[in-house]
Amino acid sequence: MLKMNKIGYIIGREYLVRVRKRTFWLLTFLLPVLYGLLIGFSVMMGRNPGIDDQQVNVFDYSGIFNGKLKDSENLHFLYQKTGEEKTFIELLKKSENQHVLVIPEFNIQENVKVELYSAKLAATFISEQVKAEIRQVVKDERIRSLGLNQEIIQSLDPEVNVVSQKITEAGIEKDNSIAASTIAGIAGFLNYMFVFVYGSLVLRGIHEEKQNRIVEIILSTVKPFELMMGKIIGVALVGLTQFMLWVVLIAGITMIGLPEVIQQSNQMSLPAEAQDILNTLSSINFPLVLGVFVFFFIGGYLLYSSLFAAVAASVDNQADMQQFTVPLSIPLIIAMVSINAVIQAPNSSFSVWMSMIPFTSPVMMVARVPLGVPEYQLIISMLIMVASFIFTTWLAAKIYRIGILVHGSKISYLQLWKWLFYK
Amino acid sequence: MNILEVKNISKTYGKKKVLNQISLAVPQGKIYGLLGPNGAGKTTLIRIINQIIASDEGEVWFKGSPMTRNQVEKLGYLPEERGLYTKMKVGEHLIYMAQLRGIKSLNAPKVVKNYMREFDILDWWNMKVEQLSKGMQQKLQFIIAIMHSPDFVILDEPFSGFDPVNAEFIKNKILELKEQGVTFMLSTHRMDSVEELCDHVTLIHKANKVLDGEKHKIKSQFKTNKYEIIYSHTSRPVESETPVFQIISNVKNDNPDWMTLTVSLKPGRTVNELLHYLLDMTEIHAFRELIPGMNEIFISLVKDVENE
Repeated sequence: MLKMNKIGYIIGREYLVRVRKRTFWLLTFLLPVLYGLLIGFSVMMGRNPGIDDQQVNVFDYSGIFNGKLKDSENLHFLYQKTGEEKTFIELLKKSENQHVLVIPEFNIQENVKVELYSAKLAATFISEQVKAEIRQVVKDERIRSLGLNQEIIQSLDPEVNVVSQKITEAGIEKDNSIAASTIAGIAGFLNYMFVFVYGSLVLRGIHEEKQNRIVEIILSTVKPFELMMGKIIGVALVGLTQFMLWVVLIAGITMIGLPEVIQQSNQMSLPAEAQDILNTLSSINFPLVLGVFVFFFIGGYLLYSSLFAAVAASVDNQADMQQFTVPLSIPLIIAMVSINAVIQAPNSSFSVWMSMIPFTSPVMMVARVPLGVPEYQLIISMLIMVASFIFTTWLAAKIYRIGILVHGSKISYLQLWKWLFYK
Repeated sequence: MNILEVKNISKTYGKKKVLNQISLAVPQGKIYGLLGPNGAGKTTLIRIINQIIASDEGEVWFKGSPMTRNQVEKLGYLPEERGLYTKMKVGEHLIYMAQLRGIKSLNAPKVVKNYMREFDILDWWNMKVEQLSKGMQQKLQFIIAIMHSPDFVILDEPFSGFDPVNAEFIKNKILELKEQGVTFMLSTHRMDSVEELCDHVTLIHKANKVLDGEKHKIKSQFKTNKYEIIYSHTSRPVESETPVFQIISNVKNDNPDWMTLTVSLKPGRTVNELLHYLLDMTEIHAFRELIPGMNEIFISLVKDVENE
């Protein structure tokens, strides 16, 4: 029978020892701070894209353009008296932000050729904007010369929006592929990181206990299984604490920073795709993604950390440890590098299998969920996960209880196998 | 009354038999020496008593019935392989161990403080374990073994690594606790501490029990009827062959006027006859029976087993 109060003491120690460490808080705050900086940076960039105001001095011999070229945020048109362009071109040599635009007389029905002088070759956005503005003015002139109404012409110009639709059994869904893929990739990678980072904490913790020989004193009062589970659960709670803090902090930063970013992107009207992402983010089922994430974090972590625990208990030195931890980590690494393949084709048989095998599902299923997974697959994968970690913890406990007291001998797989049958 | 009884315990690892039908009985309130060379199976037996590992055969009884898990947790145990969490603070560490040993969380700090005061280490409270010397850490480990007031304490090589001052301190603590009725099982190969502390001795060698009994009885069992006499150097030498004894050696003492004589008594002769005989011949300064030390008994028994 398990003694819950003792497991409680062990969990408490394992948790507090780690949470009190400076490195824990450093890492906990570093990520949101980086994220905050990223948001802050893009806000800053939005306010000042790093380009000084540019002034285009217009010498208009055609007389059509006066006042009609539209300024943009960084580009201003200034109309100058014709005939003085030579002096201006002399002055240009001193300033990189001054340009001279010479528009000759031309027939409104013919092509237009203008000259743009700059100290250095003008940035593309300047020449592009100049071109667009001139074209607009000439077009308007031509329309007027035909005697047509401006508004009628505008009404002829249709606005076209292509909305991708995804057909599923349940009907037609709004496609959110870019946003969803991003979320899928991040979630899969995060879970890979979590399982690895916290699995290694268990590995190191048990190795330390074995090395400094405290374990026997403890084992005279608690069962090996209780000690192992206490450690695994304690470390898991550290992981969840860190994750929750991240969620809260990042959500906080997002709420403060994102409206600003959205507002700016609206003003700039430039990143239509970005806007799409922002809009479609809201269509993802975040509670489901988060729930599945936490479930597979716990499941994958229990699976890997129990096996790591068995390894740490069995071997004496770090070098021998690798012989066992490397093969154990390979499936997880394969899962990580296959995230992209799964995102590209979330319902391929490769993806489905990878999200069923418990050694890869903590990464794969988490990556698939934001892209849409049939419910039955999710449920089967979860059941396999639960059955697997129950099995691995049982297996690990059997090896752990013998291994933790063995010193000085090199351990082979055969030996581990034999330990399973020791009384 | 026996507080602990080990009944026919056997344990095999793979093909190697580590314990073979070991039985022993530990009388209450005594210090019980568990002796044996390295690899004899002492630590395995202790782990079985502590239920850290299971035996293949046999039972451990405590206070007259099979030992329960709760009873195991109330034992005191200082393993040979012992360590501490080096990054923890001393006070915190002891409180944690007290909790695992079943002391209520609310009580634990008080209990720990009392022991630290008793051992004169209260000012270590906020130090990290890694800041302590090895000897200091061993004091903590000893406190951990006894702080929950167990009535049965197992000490596996308790003096290894202790400097003489600390060893003496721990020895006195053991005797003090024995006075209060605590029973000890002391596993060691340091024969001086066995000589000094143990009431009862069991010798395990190569998985088997080769000797078991009260220390004074074992010693008299291994008696060889040899005596050592220190006497005044006289012009008349002691005869080499007498009806009462046989001379083993007769050599000069550190004191130039004295001689040291070692004899063995002939069968049927008594110590009084020996003394009478010698008193007639010379002046006697010292007389003692040569009783084998536990060390000699230990070595001769181990050799016997190996020769078999």
